[in-house]
Amino acid sequence: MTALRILLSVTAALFGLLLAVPIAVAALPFWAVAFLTRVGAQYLEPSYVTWDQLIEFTPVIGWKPKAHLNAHYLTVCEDGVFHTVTDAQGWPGTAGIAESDIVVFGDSYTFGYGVDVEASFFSERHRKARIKAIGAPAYNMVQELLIMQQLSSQLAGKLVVWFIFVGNDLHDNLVPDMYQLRMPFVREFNGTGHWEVVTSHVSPAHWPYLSARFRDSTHRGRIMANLHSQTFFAQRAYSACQFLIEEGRNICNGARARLLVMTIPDPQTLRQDQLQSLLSLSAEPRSFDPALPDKRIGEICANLGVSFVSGRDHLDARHYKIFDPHWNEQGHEQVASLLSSFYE
Amino acid sequence: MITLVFPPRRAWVTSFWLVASLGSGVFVGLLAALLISPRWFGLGVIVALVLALPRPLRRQTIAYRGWNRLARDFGRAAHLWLLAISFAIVVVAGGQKGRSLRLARPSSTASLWMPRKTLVPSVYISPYSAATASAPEKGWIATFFSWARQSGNLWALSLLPFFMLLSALRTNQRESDLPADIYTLF
Repeated sequence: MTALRILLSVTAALFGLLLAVPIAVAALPFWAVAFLTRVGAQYLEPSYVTWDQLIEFTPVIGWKPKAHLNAHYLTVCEDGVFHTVTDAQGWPGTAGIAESDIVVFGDSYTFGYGVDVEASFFSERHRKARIKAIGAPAYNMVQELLIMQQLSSQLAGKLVVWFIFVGNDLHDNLVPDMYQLRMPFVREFNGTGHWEVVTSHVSPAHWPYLSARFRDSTHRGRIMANLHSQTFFAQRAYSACQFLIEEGRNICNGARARLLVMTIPDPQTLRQDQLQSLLSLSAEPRSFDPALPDKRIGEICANLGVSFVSGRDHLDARHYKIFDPHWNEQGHEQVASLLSSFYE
Repeated sequence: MITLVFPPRRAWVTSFWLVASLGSGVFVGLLAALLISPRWFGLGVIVALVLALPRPLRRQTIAYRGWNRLARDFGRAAHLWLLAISFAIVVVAGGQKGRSLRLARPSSTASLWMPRKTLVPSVYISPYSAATASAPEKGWIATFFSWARQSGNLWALSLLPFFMLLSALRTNQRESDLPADIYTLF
């Protein structure tokens, strides 16, 4: 029975092969194009690392870029691979704080994420003032404050610029996790309006669960929309922000440095076609205002006697990338010239 | 694999554009050489050079997506066709001569429940493939060979060319593979 079964199947297979030949022939151009494209791409693209390979655990802060990096990293796929270098402390660029006029604290925007380091706002290419960037992808303001504190002895006489990315910084100040990483955050004393920095949970161990903002793609939209409306969440977020800016001001005053806060608008709020969908996610759509974060943070800074620059007044959709919410080279050039004008 | 990486990185789009320009040039050159004169093959070189001139990335990406969609649709149709052939062989070979599966007949008091040993926790993501000894190291063709030999299903080897074709026509890089969010990077 086995021999007959083999005979039957081989006969059927030979007949089937005749029917499959046209498929194989028609597939040849697709195979050839896919193969040659793959080979060509390997020559055109430098070898790269992913963003999580750029960072390492550091106590209290949570993570930090690795020191002495000289690597290409992958951002959003369509956007490609970009070059970065870090100094001996892990901060972007090679210049030190001592030889800089301006020290910028912030997150991935400050890190120069999404452009080659040579095109970033802190590169020598288009700067009139010497700028040192202190930042890493995914930082919140609490981490930036803690680093400001650590580096305070080096800030004397400098202009300290604090970038606040409206897209997620204000929310992330209130939560203990960033994907699988643990990060410092602030918590309020039983609704008293007084806040404290929490770092006790920060360790190299993975955070035990994945927050809703990483599981649900609309969650971030809702956070954004509610931050731009008169909501309870916005009230908490701006209260925490006020605490952090006040702490930052005290550090800078103590270090005899001048603090300037600059907001970075989320590109969604700069594009008319995306505003409507954002508005629809708000819990209080009637109070939705794309410029609300700038107004609120501007008020906070005015009350605290801190200089403030609204990013909305200087940046527009042209300064952002298409596939990614970070600045493009034009955006970095604009920020470089802005920073130079602040210094002057 | 007949599809291209999606979403594409810049290097992939540029590489595809160069390959497409070269391919178009060769096609036009061959056509001209066959229809007019072999000396007209040079026309293909001109076509390739003109097409390979730098174009806006957006336009190149549109061409890339278009080609990928075509490859994916072709792959799906080819996949169905090859599966139909494979099933036909199974039915012809297996169905005509009955089955070789032997089922144990339990006594009236015996149970057919089989005790199962536990596996290492790390393999529980796919316990069935883990139970196949050294399958990943040998590659699927070698595994298929040894399974056919050990199980007495040598006839199934006649399916191998079709499985190889199916494997080569994989189109698993779909638009839904797009990263949903890059929140963590801000």
